[in-house]
Amino acid sequence: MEEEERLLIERAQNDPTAFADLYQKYVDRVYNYIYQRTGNRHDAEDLTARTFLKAFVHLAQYRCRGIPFSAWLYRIAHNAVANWYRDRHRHQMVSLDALVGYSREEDRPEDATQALEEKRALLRAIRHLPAERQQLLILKFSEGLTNAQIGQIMGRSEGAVKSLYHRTLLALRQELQKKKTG
Amino acid sequence: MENKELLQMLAIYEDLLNGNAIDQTKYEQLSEEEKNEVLALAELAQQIKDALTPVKPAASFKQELEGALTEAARQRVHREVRIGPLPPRRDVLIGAAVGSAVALAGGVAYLVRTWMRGRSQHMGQVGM
Repeated sequence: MEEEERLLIERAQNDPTAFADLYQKYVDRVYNYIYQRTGNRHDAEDLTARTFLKAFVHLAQYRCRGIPFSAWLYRIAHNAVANWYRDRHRHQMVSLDALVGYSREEDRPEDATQALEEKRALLRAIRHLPAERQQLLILKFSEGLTNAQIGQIMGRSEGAVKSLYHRTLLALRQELQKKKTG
Repeated sequence: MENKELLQMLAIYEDLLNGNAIDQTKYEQLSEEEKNEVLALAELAQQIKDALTPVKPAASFKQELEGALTEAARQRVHREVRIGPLPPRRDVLIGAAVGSAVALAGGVAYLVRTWMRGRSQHMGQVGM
């Protein structure tokens, strides 16, 4: 763990008002993770608030040994999303507002429409994957974490993350092919 | 497929995805079928990366949540200052600590939920 981060955590543990520094450092990443899982801004905001609320209340219990602070936060966020799906029996949603930004001006309308459809199908397939596979893809591609960092968050070895990643790609490809032919 | 070959393939398409130079020696060792597999999976990985473009929270949301958490922190400091001079008996101190943690959790939850409820009502009014 970086010395700077360790000091930030210790300061927040001794002085609750210093929690704002940790919040500022991680809010974008936590929000993005939750947004990619839920697919809409309103729920992403609510769950981000719950995640930081829980982190604030339980910060004294966090110890710098073992998992990094970011991994601890991601675990809280992951559990918040899991509870949200379970409690509300949510159907997995596709983020339409995220898709809007993808079509480029120079695209011909028919190409842009087809690209949008493909991305929509891909996002739908991703959100139908088991939670831990979605988590892996988001941490890897949207948050830009390494396999080792993902392993710390998911409580798996780096090799296990690689293997799960490969199986996830294969499953996703199969699902997309099934949709195309079906 | 052998585990070793699988890991080799994974390494190659990770390199492709990250824009790194491919280890040509390893790549040439793959069969034609495996090469096609690597390229197909690397393409899928790139599509996933494009689909999961990072999204930032609204500035107003960040500011409001920070305000709610800061207010909760101020209340916590105030409470800790207030319970500071309790008698130094171990059982009393433990009781106070547990009590303050429970009260704190309740207090913070109340503050943030009130804020979240306010947001929901506001969003309902503006038709979001």
